[in-house]
Amino acid sequence: MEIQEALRNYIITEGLQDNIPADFDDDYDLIDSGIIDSLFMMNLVTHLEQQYRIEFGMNDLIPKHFKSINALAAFAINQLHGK
Amino acid sequence: MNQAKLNLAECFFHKAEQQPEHPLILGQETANSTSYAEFRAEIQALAQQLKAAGIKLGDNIGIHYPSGGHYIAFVYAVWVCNACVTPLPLELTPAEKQQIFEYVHMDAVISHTRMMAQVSANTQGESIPLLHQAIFTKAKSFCTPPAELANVNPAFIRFTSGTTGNAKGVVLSHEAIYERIHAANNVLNISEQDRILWLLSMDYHFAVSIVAYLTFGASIILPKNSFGITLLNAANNHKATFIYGSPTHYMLMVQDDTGVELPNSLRVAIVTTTALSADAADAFHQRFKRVLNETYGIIELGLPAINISQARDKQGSVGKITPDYELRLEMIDGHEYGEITVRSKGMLDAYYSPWRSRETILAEQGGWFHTGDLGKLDADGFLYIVGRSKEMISVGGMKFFPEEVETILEKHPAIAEAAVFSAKDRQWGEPAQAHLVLTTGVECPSDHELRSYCKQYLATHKVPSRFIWVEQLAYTASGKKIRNPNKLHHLN
Repeated sequence: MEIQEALRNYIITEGLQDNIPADFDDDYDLIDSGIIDSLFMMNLVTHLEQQYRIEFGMNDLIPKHFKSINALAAFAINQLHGK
Repeated sequence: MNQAKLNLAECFFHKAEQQPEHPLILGQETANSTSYAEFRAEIQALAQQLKAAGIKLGDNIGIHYPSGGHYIAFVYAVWVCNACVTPLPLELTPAEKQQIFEYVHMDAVISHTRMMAQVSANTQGESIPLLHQAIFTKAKSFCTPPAELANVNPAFIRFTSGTTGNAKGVVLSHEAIYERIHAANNVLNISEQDRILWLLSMDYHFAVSIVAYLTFGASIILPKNSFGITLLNAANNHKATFIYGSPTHYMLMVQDDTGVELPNSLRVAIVTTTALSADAADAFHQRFKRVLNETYGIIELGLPAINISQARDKQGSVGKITPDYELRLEMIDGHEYGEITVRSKGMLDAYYSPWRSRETILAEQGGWFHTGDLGKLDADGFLYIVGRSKEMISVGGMKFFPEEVETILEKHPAIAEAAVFSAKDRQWGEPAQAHLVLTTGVECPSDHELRSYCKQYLATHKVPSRFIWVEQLAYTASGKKIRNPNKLHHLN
């Protein structure tokens, strides 16, 4: 399963907001839409760290990496390639 | 004649009567605001729905709902019905939630519709829709409430997994919470002039904080998310006077590189949930030229010490003992520190299961509550914590005990023994790591397999980030597990 699809499934099943559209695209704004709230942000970080064995440093917890599925996927792939 | 029992919802209504137009809930943007009168109307509408659904005096209601304004309204609406609240933290797994139902009798659950499936095994009968995408359902009975509970006017039963694997609910009455918020406010002086930037989970933080803000007439700012820039913008948009957060939240503000400052209106920035490292405190001071203020918070006691000093030489202290609390250090021979013991009016009313009343707890401990933590006082009366008896781990402000994770790990057939500890080597959280001893003659499972196994029983933030196989764990002479990883010998 490609990383974008896995992320979308995770957000749909684990997201805490009730305004998650059924079929949002990979550039859909996860921050402005409110999907990424405080609790879900930490859950998402922990999930990505465990699933892909990457690590978020303090400086990585910034909006640009969480803006969309594509942004999250790009961060994860960069981390994986950087290893 | 029976005297009417104290109800914290009445304290809020009294304040709403005094300042109906004053803002109570402030959203991320300045235009987003709910007044005291509007919030009172919301609570009353919810209470009407709950009464119609069958909530009655003495019931205990599980709250399974995201933190925020509606969460507060649900808690207060339950109190209006003279019922009690047990938080069911959303991030827990269904198995962990099941455990709460097994230990704490609940009559019904208020759940967000979207998360209802996670508790539906513990509910029965018709689901009644409430406001704000919530539903109300009767709970299945797994245990009977202790007979003594009805005598203490309970407001909250907070489930804790305990430090020995034995679960204990902490029972807090309206009176105990009232005492502890007034005790804390002798130091914090929260008033209608305050706008508090709120950053924590209400499942774990409510009784000395949120209740105090509503009772003393303050406004609560609820930011949209936890990115540093979001928190700084929310603080500036509403001219925050007070921040209540975990070290993680402050570090998220520190790492922001946009140059946005904290507002000049800010008078106190409280750190709670876990000890603040000197590095984190220094980084915050370097970025914002302000001191972070640590507190000593214990669910059984409230806030017995609060550091509001802006002096840098008091950094690292949890402050002076709060005036309504008494502190006694039981000194340890040959050391300058001792065990922290405390007594106060706002102590817990009881442990729920097995029931142990405040009087019993104090009688067993010579009239003082023994925290198990070690502390020392400086010449100015500032308390410093030098050792914590409970090896609690905190990830983003969500706390858990290593024993809870070890119990799950040790049920895995390949694991003979487990020691879980906090990896304090990074700034924004303390993910758990585990030292594991392999069961003789069993093949070593992969990390992936162990992670999947843990996720069945443990909330995501409790699942260890690393599994490290060792030949043996270390124990003290008295048989206590030593979780300090430096004392172990790795297989490789």
